Amino acid sequence: MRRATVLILVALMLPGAAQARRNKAQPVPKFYAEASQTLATVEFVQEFVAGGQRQQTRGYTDGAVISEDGLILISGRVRFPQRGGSGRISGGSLPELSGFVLHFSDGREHQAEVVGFDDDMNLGLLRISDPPSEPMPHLNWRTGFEVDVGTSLRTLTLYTEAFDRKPVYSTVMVNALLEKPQEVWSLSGASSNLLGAPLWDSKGRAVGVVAEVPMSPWAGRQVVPDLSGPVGLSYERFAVWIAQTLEGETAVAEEDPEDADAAWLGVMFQPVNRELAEHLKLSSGGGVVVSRVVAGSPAAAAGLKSLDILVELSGERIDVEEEADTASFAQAIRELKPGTTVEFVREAPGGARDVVPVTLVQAPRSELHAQRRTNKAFALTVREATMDTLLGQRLDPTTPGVVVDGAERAGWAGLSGLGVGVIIQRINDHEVTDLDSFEKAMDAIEAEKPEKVLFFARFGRRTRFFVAEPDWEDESP
Amino acid sequence: MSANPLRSLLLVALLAIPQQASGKDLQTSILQAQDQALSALVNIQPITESFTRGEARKQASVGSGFLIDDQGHIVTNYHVAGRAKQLMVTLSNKERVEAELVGEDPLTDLAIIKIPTETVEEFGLVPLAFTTSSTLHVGQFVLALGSPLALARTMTFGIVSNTERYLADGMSLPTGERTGEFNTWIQTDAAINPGNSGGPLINLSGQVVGVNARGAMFADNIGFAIPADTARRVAHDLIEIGEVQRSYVGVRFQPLKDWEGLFEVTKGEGVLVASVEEGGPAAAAGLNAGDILLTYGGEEVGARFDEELPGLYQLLAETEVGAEVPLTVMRRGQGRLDLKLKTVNTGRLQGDRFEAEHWGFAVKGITEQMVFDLDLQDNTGVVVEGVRTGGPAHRGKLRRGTVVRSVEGQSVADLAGFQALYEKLGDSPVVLIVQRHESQWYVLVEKNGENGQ
Repeated sequence: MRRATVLILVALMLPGAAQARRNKAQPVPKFYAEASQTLATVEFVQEFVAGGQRQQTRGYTDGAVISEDGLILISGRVRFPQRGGSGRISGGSLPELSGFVLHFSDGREHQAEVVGFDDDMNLGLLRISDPPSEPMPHLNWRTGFEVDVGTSLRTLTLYTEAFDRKPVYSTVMVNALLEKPQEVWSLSGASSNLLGAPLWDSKGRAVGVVAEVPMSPWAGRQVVPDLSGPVGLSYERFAVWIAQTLEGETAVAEEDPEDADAAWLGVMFQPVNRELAEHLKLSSGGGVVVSRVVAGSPAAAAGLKSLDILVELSGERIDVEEEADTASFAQAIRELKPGTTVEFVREAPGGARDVVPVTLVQAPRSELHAQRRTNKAFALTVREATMDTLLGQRLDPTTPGVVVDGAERAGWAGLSGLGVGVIIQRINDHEVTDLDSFEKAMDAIEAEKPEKVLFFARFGRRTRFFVAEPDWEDESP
Repeated sequence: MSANPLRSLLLVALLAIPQQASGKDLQTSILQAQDQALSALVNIQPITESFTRGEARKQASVGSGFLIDDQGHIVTNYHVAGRAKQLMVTLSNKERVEAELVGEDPLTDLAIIKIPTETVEEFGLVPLAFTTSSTLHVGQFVLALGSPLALARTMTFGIVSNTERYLADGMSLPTGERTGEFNTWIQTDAAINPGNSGGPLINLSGQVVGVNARGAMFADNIGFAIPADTARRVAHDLIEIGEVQRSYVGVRFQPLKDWEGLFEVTKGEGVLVASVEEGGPAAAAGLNAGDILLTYGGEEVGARFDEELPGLYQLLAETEVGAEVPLTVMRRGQGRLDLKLKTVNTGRLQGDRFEAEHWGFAVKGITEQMVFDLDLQDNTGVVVEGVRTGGPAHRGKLRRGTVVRSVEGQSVADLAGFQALYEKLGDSPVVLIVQRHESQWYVLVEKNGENGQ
């Protein structure tokens, strides 16, 4: 769980190995120490066909952690292995990318998987394979950042392994605004080494990323016509894309609906492709395997279990070969009407079949659409504990509490150490189960004006206490 | 303010510091100390094995260590020599000898290696002696010896900057083990750089006060040493019994600071139970988050400040494994309660590793601690340690960190069971049932000649 007061980064005194903590500040050394923790060298394997030969090469780029649970923003350049300075590609197909490993300057290493790419902005998203045991240090985006010609921005990249992946600090200057509303910046001092590197303002807040204007035949609309080389993209430019990509991802995992009318089954799937089907001696040639059934869901009520193989939905064969297909399958279920009863055909290894009817219900709300409340005195914003947040922290979907969505660092809650992502379950003697009880608790506390306020919170299975010391005399918290 | 404690503190300080420097000048003291210590210093070049890419990969690094007896035992860090496949040691006289790993303790980041006794005799190496770290003072002169940036036989000079630095919990080693919860640290401004790890921090009498292990990143002259009192105890156990036995309780504490009013105790009394590990001994004893632990085994315990937590965890760890320990807690609304706790053996943090070469992945056995640390359902199966890029398992989308539950329908109980199945089925395509937390699915591991390598 996050601690607010630990400022030092302690490294093992062995070349190349280290251990880090979190910090935040504006002076360059402090900025450097904090921001470095969010930056990783992304190592990966590109496999492509060139000249009729299958080739594998190892590639590297910069990546930045953008969420506490390990989402990584990278440059889309990784998809174009043979691209030279001219921006031309020498032919062949897009490479297959795999084996993503993130190397942080403090020695942390994580494997990662692709979440998605955007060809217009030439950006990519990865997610670390092992869910982190505590919130990861990540970029804090600032929106509404006003940039003008002459604005100086900070950036970081990492040296190679030979130099212990030491972070390299530099500044770049906006020398032209390329597109309204000021979302694409031409930068002086930005080389292609900086692709994927975040851009920070002088207060150490992330405002954008160094990206490349795509010139590839695969890119559709170009960001800026007739310009190649690194540019700055403002966070506003890609924020929506990140949100949509994530929603697609949650859709796979939790069938998260965009609208209130979406239907919910309550399972997670993995594909069963032809080879696997053959090996399991299924007569159907494939489908999906139920990897998880959410407790209390329609699927659980209907008796679906982990490792069940579903091969037909309401008379139609489930044709899922790739992981991407599970997304469209999940989408198809989501588009049904809540209240509909569907029939799955379940096939056991060997070929025995049975029919499982399931009545879908309305989908639970996701984190993105969660309701939020802000308590001004404590400078604390919380959101309802939605099922995706709870499952993400490996908690029971009925776990009571509210999730910290934001706490101003110098506010009363922020000073107590409460950080984004932790679930508040009790405040002094007031049990907090949802937004209403949170609000009631805070109202009571504001009426009592106690010297100390005790928050009991959890992140995953770990619990911890946070004590805020409000200054009730202060009229302008 | 009461003048007494302050005065006695000053008195000790006045006695202790001049004792070293008086009579001889600083230069003479440093020369004498290095004279005594340098002979015991070694440069260690371990070859370790990593399986995180799905295959055994050798890794070379450089660290430091020091001789502590005439048998040839050398103290170093676990993150230097732990799990080493091969250990070469360069002595202070530049001779190279091979060393063997005697014992390791990731929880304190310490390891013992050994060079032949005959080598010690042959070269007349003089071991270093530990002194207690409990009487160290801020400002006391110290020397750090080691191989910063692999520059062997480097000595740096400074003072003790802090004697009880608390580095927050949640520290872990590159190999994944948690560490550092049983000691505070000696902070020094004697320059400590990568490669210093495992080297001694000595006083001007040439005695070991700490084992250099960490440094603050992006800072100058903020280094951390494991106190000699911890190192000596661990070294003793590793040499005598080959391991450090500790009781596991499954509880995390927070210091009470000035929060006594919130928990109905008086200032200085007890320690706050912050978190109780589900399924652990503390949970079985009925301990709850929010309880104030007042006594443990009849002894009063407490912590008002972070610096007091490592000592408390050490006290719990020292409990005889399996002993029934009486506790008293204060529970809000219920007053004092008596509980009984039965500890379990901590055991190894991580299991042995094994590369299933033909399938293109490596696994490790599951220890009891891994069940807690990785939040696994239970200790059956094996954990995927790494997947070889482009290999058969990689094609089947096997991922690191998943638990292999079965191979071709046959359950995997443990590492030995997995190895037996690999021996039988290693040459054929197999279907695995794997699990990550609550999810389970199938993974097809096909023989795939073209991309097998």
